[in-house]
Amino acid sequence: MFTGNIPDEWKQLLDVCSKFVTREVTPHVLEADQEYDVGFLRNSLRQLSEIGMLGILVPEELGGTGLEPLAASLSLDILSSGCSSIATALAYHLAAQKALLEGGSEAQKKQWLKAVLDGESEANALSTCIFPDWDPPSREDKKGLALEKEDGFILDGKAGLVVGADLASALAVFVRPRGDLVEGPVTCLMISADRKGIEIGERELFSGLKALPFHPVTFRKVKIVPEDILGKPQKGEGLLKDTRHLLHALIGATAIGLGRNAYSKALTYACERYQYGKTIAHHQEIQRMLGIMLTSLHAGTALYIQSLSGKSMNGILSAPGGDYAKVFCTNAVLDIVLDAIQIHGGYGYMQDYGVEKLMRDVKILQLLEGRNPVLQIDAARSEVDKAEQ
Amino acid sequence: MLKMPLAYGLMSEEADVLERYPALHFVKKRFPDYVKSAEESQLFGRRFAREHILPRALEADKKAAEDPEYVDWDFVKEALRQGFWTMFLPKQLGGGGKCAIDSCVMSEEMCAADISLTALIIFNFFGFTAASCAFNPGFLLREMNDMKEAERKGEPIFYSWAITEPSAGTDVEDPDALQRARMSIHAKRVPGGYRVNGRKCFITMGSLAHRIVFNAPTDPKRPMETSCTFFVRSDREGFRVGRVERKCGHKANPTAELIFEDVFIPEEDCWMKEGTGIEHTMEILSITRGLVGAVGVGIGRGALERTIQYAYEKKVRGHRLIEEDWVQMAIADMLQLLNAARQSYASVVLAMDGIGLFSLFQNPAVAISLKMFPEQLMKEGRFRQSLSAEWIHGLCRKMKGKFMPQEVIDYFLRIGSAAKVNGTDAGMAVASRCLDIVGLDGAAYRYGIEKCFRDVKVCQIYEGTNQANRKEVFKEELAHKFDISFI
Repeated sequence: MFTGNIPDEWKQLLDVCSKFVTREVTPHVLEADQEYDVGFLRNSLRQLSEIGMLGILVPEELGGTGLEPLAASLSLDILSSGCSSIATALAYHLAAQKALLEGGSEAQKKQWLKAVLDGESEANALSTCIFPDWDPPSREDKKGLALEKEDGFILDGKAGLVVGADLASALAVFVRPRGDLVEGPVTCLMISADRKGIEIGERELFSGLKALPFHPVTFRKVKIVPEDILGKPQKGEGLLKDTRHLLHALIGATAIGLGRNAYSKALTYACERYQYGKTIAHHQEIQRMLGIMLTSLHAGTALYIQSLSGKSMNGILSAPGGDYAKVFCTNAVLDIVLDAIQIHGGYGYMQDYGVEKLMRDVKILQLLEGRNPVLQIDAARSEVDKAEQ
Repeated sequence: MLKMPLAYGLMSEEADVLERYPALHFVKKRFPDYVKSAEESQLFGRRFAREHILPRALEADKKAAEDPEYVDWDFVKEALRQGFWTMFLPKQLGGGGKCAIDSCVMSEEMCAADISLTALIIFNFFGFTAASCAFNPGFLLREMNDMKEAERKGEPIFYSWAITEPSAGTDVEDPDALQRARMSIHAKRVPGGYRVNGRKCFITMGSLAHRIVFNAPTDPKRPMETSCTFFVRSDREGFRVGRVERKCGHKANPTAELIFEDVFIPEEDCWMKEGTGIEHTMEILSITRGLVGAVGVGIGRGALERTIQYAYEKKVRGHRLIEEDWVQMAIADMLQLLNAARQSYASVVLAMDGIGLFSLFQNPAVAISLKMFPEQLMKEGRFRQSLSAEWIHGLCRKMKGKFMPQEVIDYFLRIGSAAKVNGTDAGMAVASRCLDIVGLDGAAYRYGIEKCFRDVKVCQIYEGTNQANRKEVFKEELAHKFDISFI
C-alpha cells in the first residue's frame, strides 16, 4: 500500500504488520469484539513486541528499532485495518515512549526501556499515558488528579478513563498542581503502575474498541520522588504538547486504517451485490460514495503523514499539529464507515459482516484525547492569540 | 445511569404538542377534538415511555446482546394491558379509534426512550396495515377481532411483514427493480393453493411472529408479473424460523430469517393475486415510510435529551457544560434539524389523516358499513368467512380505489419517502454529534446515549434504504410526470 520512496527497513516492518493482520488479527477480531477477553490484546501486543513494534521509536544505540514516528504511523495504519483496539493501545504506548525519550534523562531511559527491549518481550512492557483532564469541574477541584506538595511531591486524586490501564506497567502522567487544574504548570512523570497507592478501577464498558480496556485510575497520596519526574517539575508543557501531537497523529493514522478496511469491505460487497439488474458497483450513486471515501482516505493519509514529517514537505509546508490529523481523519472516517454500512444495506447492520463494528470503533476514536470541536476551537484560539499580538 | 433532573422533553409532565407541531394551531380551530386527542396521546406515550421503557431499555439491550432471541415479555404484557394492540382499530369495532397523528406523536415519545422496545409494539402494526391495504373485509375483520381477543386474554399476537430476501432488498421494494430481482422464494401453484419454498431474511420480529404476511412469485423468473401476497401462520407445516441476527442496535427487537420448506398456502390465504404483490408492498410503504421519519426523529431526540441532561449536570471549569458557547450552538443546531424533520413527517401524517388510509375508516361509506356489523357477527363464523369471498374482496378494492386512487398512494410515496430520509438522516446526524459533546465519559454504555447512535443507523436502511427512498422521490416528483426513464 505504501509504495512510495520509503526505506527498505520500513517496507519490511510494514510487510510484517500486514501479514500479522491477515494471519493473527482478522480471524479473531469479530470474536474479540463480541466477548471481552484481555488475552486477545495481550497476545497481539506480545507478538508485536517480538517484531520490535513496542520499541519502534527507541534509538538503536539504546537497543530499539530506531525508526521515526512516521514509520510508526504507517504501521498503525496497517494494524488498524485489522483491529483498531490494538492500534490504539500502541498509539498510547508510543506516546508515552515519546515523553520518555524526549524528556527523560539517560538513567531514566535506561530504567524504563529495559522492560520494553527485554529479550523476553513480554507485553507487560506496555506503557500508557494519563493526560490532564480537558474538563476539570473547577480550578480548585479537590478530587481530580493533581500534584500536591506534601513532604516532597504526591500524586492524589482520580484520573479519568485511562487506555489500557490494567495492561500497562508504566504510566506517563501529565499532571497540574492542586489548586489550578485548569491552567497550572504541567509536570510530566513516569511511574510504575504498581506503585503503592495506585488503584485501577472497574473497567468502563463501551460499544466500540471493545477489545481495549478503559479504566478510571485513582491515586491515593502516591509518593513521588525526583527520579519519577521527566524533565523539570512544572516545566512539562512542551513535553505535553509534543506527546499529544504524536498521539493525535497516531490516532489519525489509526482512523485511516479503519477507514481503509471499511472502504475495502464496501468495494468487495458492491462488486458482489446485485440489484436493479447489475452489481451495485456499477450504480453511479454507489460509485460516488466510494469516490468520496477514496478522496477522504487520500486526504487523511496525506495529513497524518504531513503532521509527522517534521521538516517541510517539498519545501512548501511545515508540519501541522497532530490535532488537525486527529480531527480530520476521525471525522472523515466516520462518514466513510456510515456510507460503507449503507452500501451493505441490511447486511451492514449485522455483526457477522464486521462493518457495523467499524462504526462503533471509529466513534470512540473521535472522542479520544480531546473532543474534536474542542480541538478545533483550541487550534483557532492559539491563532487568534497570535493575530491579536 | 444517567441522571435526568430537568423537567424537559420526556421528563416533562406537560403536553407540548402545539409547540412541537405548530400546524396544529390552525387545525385546533376547526377540529379541537383532533388536537385534544393528540395531546392526550403525547402524554400517554410520554408517561408510558418514562415508566415502562426508560427503566428497561439498557437492560433489554444488554440481554439481547447476549441472546438475540431475548424478548422482554414483561414489557410486552404491560403494553398489551395498556391497550396498544387495539389503540388504532376503528372505534366502531371496539378499538381506540386513534389516528395517524396520535400514532406519530406517541411514537416520537416512545422512540426517544428506546426504539427496540417501542418497535415490539409499533412495528407489530404492519400486520394490520397489510390487511388494510389488501382490504379483504373478511380477513381484515378477522385480524382486528383477533387483536381485540389478544388484548382481552392478555396473550399478545405478533405479526411480521416479510418481503426482504437474501439477494433482493431494494429489488423487492421498487417496481422498476423487481423484474430483474433474483428471488429465492417461489410459490408454486398446486391444487387448492400454493406450495412455497425459499427464504426471507432480516425480518423484524420474525422469530416472534404468529402471523406473517409475505410476497412470493408463482414464477421466480417473472417476479413483477407473478408476485402475490400471502398470509401464513407460524405453526404451518414446513415454516420455521432460521437464524436470529446479532445486530449493531435495535437489539431488543429480534430480527430473523424465515424458512419455507414446502409450505402449503390455501387459496384463500392469498391476499393479493398474481402481479399485484408489488402494488401491495408499495402501498404499505406509502404509509409506513412517513412513520419511520418519526422514528428517526424520536431516536435523535432521545440522544439529544440525554445529552442536554448530561451537559446540564456536568461541571466544567466552574460552570455547567451546557453553558459553553459551542455546546449551546451544537444543541441549537440539532434542535432546528430535528424540528425541521419533525415538520416533514408531521405534514405527511396530517395528510394521512386527511386523505390517506387512516381517513378511510372515517369515510362515510366505510363508517356506515362498519356500523352495520354488530360485534357478534365479527367473531369467527360463516358470515365473516363469507365476507372474504373473492367477489366481495374485488368490490371492496374497487371502492377503496375510489376513495384512495393510485394517485393518492403515489403522493404518499413521494412525501413519505422524503420524510423518511429527512427524519432518519437527522436522527443519525444528531445521535453522532451528541457523543461529540459528551465525550468519552458520556459515551459509556451505561448512559444510554451511544445506544441511540447504534440504534438509529438501521433506520437509514430499513423501509427502503435512504438511497431507494430518494429514488422514489425522484420518480414520483419528476420521472412519472415527464416520462423520464432510468438507465
